[in-house]
Amino acid sequence: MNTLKPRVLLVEDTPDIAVWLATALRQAGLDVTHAADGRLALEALAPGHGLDLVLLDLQLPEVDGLGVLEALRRRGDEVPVLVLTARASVPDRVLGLQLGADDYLSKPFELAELEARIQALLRRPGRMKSPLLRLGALEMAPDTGEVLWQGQALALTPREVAALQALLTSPQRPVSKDALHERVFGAEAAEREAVEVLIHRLRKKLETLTGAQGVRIATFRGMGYMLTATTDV
Amino acid sequence: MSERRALSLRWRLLAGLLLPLLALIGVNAWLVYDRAVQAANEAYDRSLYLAARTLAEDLQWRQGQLHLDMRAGTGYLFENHTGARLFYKVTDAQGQHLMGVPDLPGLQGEHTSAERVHFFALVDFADARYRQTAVRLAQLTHVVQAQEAVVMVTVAETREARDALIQTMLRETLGSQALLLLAVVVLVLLAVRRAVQPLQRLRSLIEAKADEDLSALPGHWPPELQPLVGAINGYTQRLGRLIGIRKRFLDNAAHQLRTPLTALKTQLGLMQRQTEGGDPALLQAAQRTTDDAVRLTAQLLALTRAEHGPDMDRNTRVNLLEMARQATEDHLWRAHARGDDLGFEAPDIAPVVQGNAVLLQEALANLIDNAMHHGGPGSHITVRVTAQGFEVEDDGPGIATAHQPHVFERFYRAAAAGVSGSGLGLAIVQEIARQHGAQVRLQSPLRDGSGTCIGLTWPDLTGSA
Repeated sequence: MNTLKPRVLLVEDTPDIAVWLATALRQAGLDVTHAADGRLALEALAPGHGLDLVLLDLQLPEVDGLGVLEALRRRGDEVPVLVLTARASVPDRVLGLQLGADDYLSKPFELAELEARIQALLRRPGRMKSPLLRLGALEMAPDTGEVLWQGQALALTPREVAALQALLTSPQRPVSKDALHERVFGAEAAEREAVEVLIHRLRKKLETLTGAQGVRIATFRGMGYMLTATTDV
Repeated sequence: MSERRALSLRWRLLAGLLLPLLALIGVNAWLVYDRAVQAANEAYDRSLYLAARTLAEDLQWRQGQLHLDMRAGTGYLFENHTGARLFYKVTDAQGQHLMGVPDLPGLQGEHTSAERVHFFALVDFADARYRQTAVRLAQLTHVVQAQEAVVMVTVAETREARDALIQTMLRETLGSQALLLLAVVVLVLLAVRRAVQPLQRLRSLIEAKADEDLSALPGHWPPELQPLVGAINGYTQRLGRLIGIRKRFLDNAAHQLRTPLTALKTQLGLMQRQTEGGDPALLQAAQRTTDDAVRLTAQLLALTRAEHGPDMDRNTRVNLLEMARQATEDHLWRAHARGDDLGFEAPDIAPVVQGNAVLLQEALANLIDNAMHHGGPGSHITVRVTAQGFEVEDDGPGIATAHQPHVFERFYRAAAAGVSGSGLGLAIVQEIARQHGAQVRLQSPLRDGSGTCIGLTWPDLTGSA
């Protein structure tokens, strides 16, 4: 596991949510800082903040969430932002994403879903200090293609690595068969069934190698495949 | 209940102006005609009197006999130049016939004194019949010079010329009054049209207003309309304020309801991980109850938004394929966590409808949610986009035929005992479908006696790029 905890700023004005959410996220191994309003959030997000992720409520005193997001993106800060909102007007979702939010979750949410999305955002290459792609105890170095499970190297073929990487880099979204075909086989004239065979093999390997509490490949009919961890984080 | 139709303003104005005008013109025509007839009668009577007078001047007593020495001028008077025929007779004061046509009727004292004054002479006029013809009589009492003898000179004239003149007058009077009437009708129509024009402008302005446009009506209005426009503007303003309040209420209610639920869910999620020796069944029950509250809150807000969302544009092109994929993706996490098999089936072409993507996604989300909720964990649910719309199929227990007509009613619950539900999910679907001109189709049970398929179809949708 990475010894350096990911640093997360939680911007939330409701104490009941802030306190318990921070506790939950700390237990999940994150270094959580809390800001109770938009101005404090912007102070915490001063250049050189070194944060890995911002959880941003939209309805805030002082400066509202969209204002914080806009200020952040205007000065070229690309820190991943996950917007949390309880507002009824759905266009906020569109507006939030247009202003440069990376993901969006409406309140109330499942704690596990929030954590999964946080992990997905932290996993994005280039976002983290560590270049590793991670899902739970599964780690991958994208440049070398080395895959570790609880620190132990897994023996995978290059195509399996390519497929796994495609799945690891798609946070919380299923990867379609066509996309996998493109990523793994490229211009090769392989049949589409080759993807199914490859995923079947990779799924078996992950089941045996990572055990009962390990990583699984879920199939969503018509949508594609998604990597899931049976243990949270 | 009989509803009385209000008379249109135009008709009111027309009736109010034209009917009295018609009566006035009628009276006027009658007066003009009467005056003309009187004038014509006077003129003819005068020439009749002149004829009698001239004739009388030509009377001479010679050797105890009355002689008529008709001069050229007198003959001229009796010439048939107007189409009328003249007859005369002369009698003495006792009515003894002296000269002329003897059977010409005389006047038996029915004197019209006004006419007599008029002519400064002893002349009387009367209408009579002579040889089956209507005639006008003038009877002059004359004293023949030298002899001092009093004679009565009676001249009769047939009425053809007089009647012809009167008829011409009648025709002309009626003609000119009819023209006048026509002109008045046209002018009144034009004036009424001009006068009600601001009303029509007002109407089209109000009709052209977009649903969410609550601004005041612009422009200058005639003083009569200003109170009306002012009242409309005042009403719109009050309405706008109410809508604003409701919209803010919606936002606030959403925030106020969701915030404690978020805290509760976070706390429960945290508790679940920390529980050592506690009652896991109780915790799960608390989580289920919380989820029901979350679901109900979401549905109430969704229904309110679907019904009253004033800022929702319902006229954008919505790609059903993209919309459905997004809605399915939003449910993948939860479906997977429950162990449901949530699948997606799509055609090659993407159907496009007019509407609001957020609302349509809300409808589909409710269908998926409904399927998950009633199917129990491990259900097989398929979101399917077709050329005609979209549908969600599940392999749950299905909906009994008796319940089917009612499941789209608010707060109607068809679920078996033990399955919680608000009875709002399908009502939301129905409401959104109605707003989008889509039909809601329900099929249950499917092939093997179980399962439900509910979808929205647009009958006129052909499927376009």
